[in-house]
Amino acid sequence: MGSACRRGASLAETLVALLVGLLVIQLGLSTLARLRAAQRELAERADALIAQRVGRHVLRRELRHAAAGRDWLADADSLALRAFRGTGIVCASDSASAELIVAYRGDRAPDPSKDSVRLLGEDGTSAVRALVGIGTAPACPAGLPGTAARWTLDVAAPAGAVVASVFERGSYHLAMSALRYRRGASGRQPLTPEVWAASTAWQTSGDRLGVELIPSRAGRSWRGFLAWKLPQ
Amino acid sequence: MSRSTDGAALVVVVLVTLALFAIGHGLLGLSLGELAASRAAARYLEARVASDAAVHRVLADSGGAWMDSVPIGSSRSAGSGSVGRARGEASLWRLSAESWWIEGVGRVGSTEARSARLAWAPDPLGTITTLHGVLTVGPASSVRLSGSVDAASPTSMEPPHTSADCDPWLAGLQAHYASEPLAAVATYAPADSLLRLGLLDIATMLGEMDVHLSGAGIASPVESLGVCSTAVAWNWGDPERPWGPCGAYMALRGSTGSVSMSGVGQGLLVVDGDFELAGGARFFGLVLATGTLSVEDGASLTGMAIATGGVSVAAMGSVHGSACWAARALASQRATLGRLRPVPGVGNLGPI
Repeated sequence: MGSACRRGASLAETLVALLVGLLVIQLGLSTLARLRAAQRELAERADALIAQRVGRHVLRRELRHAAAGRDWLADADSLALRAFRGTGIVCASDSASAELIVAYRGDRAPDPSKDSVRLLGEDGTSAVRALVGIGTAPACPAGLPGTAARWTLDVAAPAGAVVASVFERGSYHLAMSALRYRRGASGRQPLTPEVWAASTAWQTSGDRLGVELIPSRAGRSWRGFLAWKLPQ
Repeated sequence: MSRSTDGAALVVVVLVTLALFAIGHGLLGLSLGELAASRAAARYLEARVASDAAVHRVLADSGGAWMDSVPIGSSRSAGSGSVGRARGEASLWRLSAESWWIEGVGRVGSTEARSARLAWAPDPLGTITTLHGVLTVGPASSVRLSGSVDAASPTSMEPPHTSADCDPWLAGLQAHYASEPLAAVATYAPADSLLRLGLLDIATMLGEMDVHLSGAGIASPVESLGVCSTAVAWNWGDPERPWGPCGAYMALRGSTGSVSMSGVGQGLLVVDGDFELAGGARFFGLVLATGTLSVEDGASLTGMAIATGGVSVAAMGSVHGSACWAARALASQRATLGRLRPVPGVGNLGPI
């Protein structure tokens, strides 16, 4: 255990410590690199899942209240539709002033600057009118569910109308890696993260409307049913 | 040299561990967020299925006499049920005489979804008052009235029945006929002369009937151990003994061919062909026929009839116009023809 025995030991210890340190740093850096890649992939997959969920939810919800041919039409690159935003039960109608009193419920309040009204008769016949004004009204005498409102139409409602649905004209597009909505002639606004490949498309063949969502990077593609193209 | 590197590995390991912890925490948060979103979406879907199921349960149910007691604009609860962990409830609002708003609400926890459908059911009062004559015939069809057709008292009920048997509709019918008297014979309004009952065409009506018959037969009440045997094709109730087991039974009978009736009966008769009341026959109620209605000598019809092919009343035959009997015949079929059904081409209403 003399000094002669310990000579050179610190050098060996230092070299071992350096080697171990380098090894740990190497392992740490490579682990960090892998984790970063995994994190990026996971975020992309999360975005793809969000896009898929939002896209499916939005499209199914829009088409749920609409009838094929009458309310929506799909082609290779877009889905044009009447996007229903609320429904009122007709309490009273005045053909002279083209006014309706309705008990209204919906996603948002009707807006005469962009909305129209679909009127349904007892036998299912429908007529479309422009909504030109809204106002308050006394509560519907029948106590129907919803908020009483007075709507002014461009032309009087047909006799026997029992239900009035508010809609705006719009179209959905699978373009530029995302689901986009265009109201009227305005620009296409993205509703989902931009995660889809250019091959993502509507499935319009046969008697059903579907969609195939193909992520551009992470995740598997998803093909799903949206609505029947047959009359209800 | 060794002193300067002592502890460096520990520092690096601690830093790497911290970085790993931070990344792991982020990934865990991301996963939990995704899980929460997926659960919320699943809850919404379950609630929506429950609300749809509640609506369809109402549409699949047979109707009932309660439908005639719901005033226009009033609502009625239509029961509840479960789909998995989701609870669904349905409500009805009567929008007009014949149209109904059916709404289902599905709930899973605090998540709620709503569905609504427009439904239709024939209204006896509304349907009967659209007829302008005791006998309604198709355009340009033959009408031979040698016997009597009485249209003077459409709201009266002859003994052994009383005005109480016409109670739900009596006031409405009296008000209607006070301003618009009933004619003996009127022409069927629709240009295509297709026999219809609101949204129901004759094929649908015949398709929904349980008991069909054809040819000639003698209608008479059939009882077994004090209970009316309603499945017997020629048991058309017992209008002359309203207190008997078959007294309250209003038959619903359909035929895809011509029918000749003898005996006595009451109810709603849908015939895709000619209908003959043979000598001595007595029928009370409503007749819908695509062919000719013949009332032979000694036979009588009390109620109303639509006969697209025309009518023939023999010299000793009689027709007593009774809107009460016609309304009774329609109202008694709430479980079948009178039930709620979705209005074609409308689908889901909303969003609500």
